[in-house]
Amino acid sequence: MAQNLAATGVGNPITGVLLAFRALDTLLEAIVLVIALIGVWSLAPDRFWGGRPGPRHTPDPDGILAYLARLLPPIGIVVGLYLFWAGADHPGGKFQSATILAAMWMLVQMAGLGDAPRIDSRWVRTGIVVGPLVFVAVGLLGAWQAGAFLGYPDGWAKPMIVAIEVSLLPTLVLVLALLLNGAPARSADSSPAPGETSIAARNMRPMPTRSTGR
Amino acid sequence: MNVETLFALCACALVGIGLYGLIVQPHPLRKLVAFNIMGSGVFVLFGALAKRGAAAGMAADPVPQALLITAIVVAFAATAVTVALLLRLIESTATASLANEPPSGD
Repeated sequence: MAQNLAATGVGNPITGVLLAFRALDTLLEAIVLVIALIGVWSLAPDRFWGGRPGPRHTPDPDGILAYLARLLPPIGIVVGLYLFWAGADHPGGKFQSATILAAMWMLVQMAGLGDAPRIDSRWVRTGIVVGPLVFVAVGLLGAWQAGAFLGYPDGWAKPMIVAIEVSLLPTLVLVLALLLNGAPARSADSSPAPGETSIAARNMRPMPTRSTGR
Repeated sequence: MNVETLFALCACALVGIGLYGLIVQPHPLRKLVAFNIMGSGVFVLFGALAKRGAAAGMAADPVPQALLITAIVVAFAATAVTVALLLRLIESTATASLANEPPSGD
């Protein structure tokens, strides 16, 4: 394996194994994640189908959670993208990066600063399938050009691996965060606008120690 | 005893703890946690195997390590589906137990 690693153009042996020598594992893993998400969604009651998952978290503008949710995401996004890029030659990669980016998104949601997306919105569904589709397309290209499914033509291994990684990253972020969000629990048209919720919560809620987490 | 053996023994202990919890604990959520502890034992075992199978000039055998990443992600997905199933069970039956008779209280 060590002798063949140079041909892939990737310095990190684990990334090399994941995307060159055992790429089919990684493809099926991405598909398993999407299937798991569909499984979670399918547990929603019929009346909530297409709605938003989980409870709407009411923001506490002076709370530590809202403060952290404003402070941490810029740092987390930089760290996540660095891990993503460094994955070619050092420990890191799309899964680790997607975990951090999804955690930042969850933090924003739990602080009430942003809401979970509707699961029937077009960008969510596109984002979920784009990674596996690009992966399969690269695999078919390999079958046509290099004679084997997921085979890389000579000299094209590195660009193709980068293409797979770039397209899988948004899919993984979306799928990981939506798996944590769970099944839809609010119908598509019942969630109020963010502004009125926060104002109502501020007026009606004198108790200071209420957990906004789940 | 070298480091790899120590890690492998820890992995065995984790799998044992998880198996015990899986059998003894009746609550589905506890079973889920126990199952995840068992899974963690398998992950540690793979780490120890990767270290033991290190080729010359490499810190560890990358193949088990790559399988580990896949395994962790799939375990997370399976856990998420299980938790969603549990929540749905509680929502529809108002209990988190699969038993037919109501719990006796102990």
